[in-house]
Amino acid sequence: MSNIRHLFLFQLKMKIKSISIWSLIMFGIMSMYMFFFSTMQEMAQVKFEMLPTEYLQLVGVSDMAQMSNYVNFFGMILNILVIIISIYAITTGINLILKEEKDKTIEYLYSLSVTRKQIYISKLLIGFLSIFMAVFAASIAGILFGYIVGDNTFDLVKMFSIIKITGFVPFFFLSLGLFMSALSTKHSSASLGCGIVMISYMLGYLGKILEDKADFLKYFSPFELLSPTNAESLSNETLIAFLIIIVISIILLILSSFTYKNRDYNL
Amino acid sequence: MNAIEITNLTKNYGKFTAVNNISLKVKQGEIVGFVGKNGAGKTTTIRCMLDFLKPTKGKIFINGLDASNKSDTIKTFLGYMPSDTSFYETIRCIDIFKLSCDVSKTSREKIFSLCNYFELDPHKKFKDLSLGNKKKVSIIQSLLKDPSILILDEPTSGLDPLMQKKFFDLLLDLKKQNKTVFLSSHNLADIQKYCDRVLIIKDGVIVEDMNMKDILTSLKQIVTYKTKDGKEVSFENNDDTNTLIKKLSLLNLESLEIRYTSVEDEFIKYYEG
Repeated sequence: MSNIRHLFLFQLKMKIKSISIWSLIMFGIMSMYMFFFSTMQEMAQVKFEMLPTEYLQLVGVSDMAQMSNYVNFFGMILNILVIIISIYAITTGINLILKEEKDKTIEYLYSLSVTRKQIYISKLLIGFLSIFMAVFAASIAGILFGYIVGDNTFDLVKMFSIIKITGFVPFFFLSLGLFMSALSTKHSSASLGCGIVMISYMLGYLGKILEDKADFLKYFSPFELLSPTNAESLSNETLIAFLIIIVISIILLILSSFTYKNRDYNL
Repeated sequence: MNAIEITNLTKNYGKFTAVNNISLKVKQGEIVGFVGKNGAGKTTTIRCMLDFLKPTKGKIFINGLDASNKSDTIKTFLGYMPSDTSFYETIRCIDIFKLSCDVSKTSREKIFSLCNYFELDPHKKFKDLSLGNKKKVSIIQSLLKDPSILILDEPTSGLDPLMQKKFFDLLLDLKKQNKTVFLSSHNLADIQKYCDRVLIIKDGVIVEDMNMKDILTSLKQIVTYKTKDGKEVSFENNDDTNTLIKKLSLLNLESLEIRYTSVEDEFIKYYEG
């Protein structure tokens, strides 16, 4: 355990700046939107009604009533931020190992009196911390402004439900990124990761707008399965999807660990 | 028990065979040079020893432990210095060293004694160091856990001659403590001067395993002279010194040069094939 702690703290020293910047950006964006919640409420009636439903669905709005409800408005913004954080998560997951192999800095870690498993776990913890801080910062901003500008539609319990369910999506992509980096022998997978997140999001969107014709597409999209709307209503289907995505994430992490332990290093 | 023992090691990258069925033994307390052209298979062999790469075939034992499944134990007594001096640019050297000490449970005091010896300021960030100083970081890092076996991949490239001497003096000290050094290098003069034995690898195959004492006794004397009438002659002398002087005194010489072939000359033969 102490070796994992040493490795974790060492890597944290290098990542603390980017983790802080990401968290601040997430906090800033969420704060900015939430601060203008009441203005948005009024504007939504005038401007958003002119937009096609499909366009609104793309940004996670199913009807205009959502815009006048603080929790729904928070969910809509969080949904957008979750896409950004998911791109960050999958890129982080891929880079945690592959970038170090590309830069050859990992040769230093390999030469230390530590096991591959300890290196893997310390990197996983760094990845989790990065994503947790980004989701946490956005959530805290939403809750803080709920107290300041939220009207009677501000509901902390519902917000927690959204944060917990929708906020898990980036963790799934982090696991996927780590799995990809454990399998891959190529270094430039960051753009591939970005593509996977966007495709996953678009599949969920298509599943939603095509309804009966291609409803199955939503099953390929954690964004849709764990969307703020679903998280808020928390149906059995959402709960099962949430559990399945957690299980898949854990399986990906175990497989990554196993693969990483037994593969050649890309040096 | 041998400190390092490799039996029939083969490593393929797809269809390319980087190391082809090599076997070697390194005794405890030996300094062994590992020489070969770029791409000959030196680094691949070393990376297999450290379990960074899985051998396609063959076995590697370090102090009797199988490198493919006991690498975690092996790393506790094996120091490694890679050929690339790649560390985290934004981190201070002291933090790099501290981590090495902390995970190997060795005293941090050694950091300062080694930094003093190699004249390195550990409080500087790695990115602010010159190439030579970056190399020192790598050397110090490999020595911090007080290893009984040291594997060094091109350790002196980038170091100034004074620092190179200090480095080799340190290796000789380690040898006195019965520690083993396996050294890959292109600096043939250093190999000649400091190694007990030299292994030459070519196209993934070990083509020569030479004892340095044997090499030194087999070195030849080359005599080159120029007479006043412009005749220039060079020959390999097999006579004793007195006989040679007598023979030369009969000639009307303008210039004379007597030199020994070096180990480098022997190596170059293998380099050139």
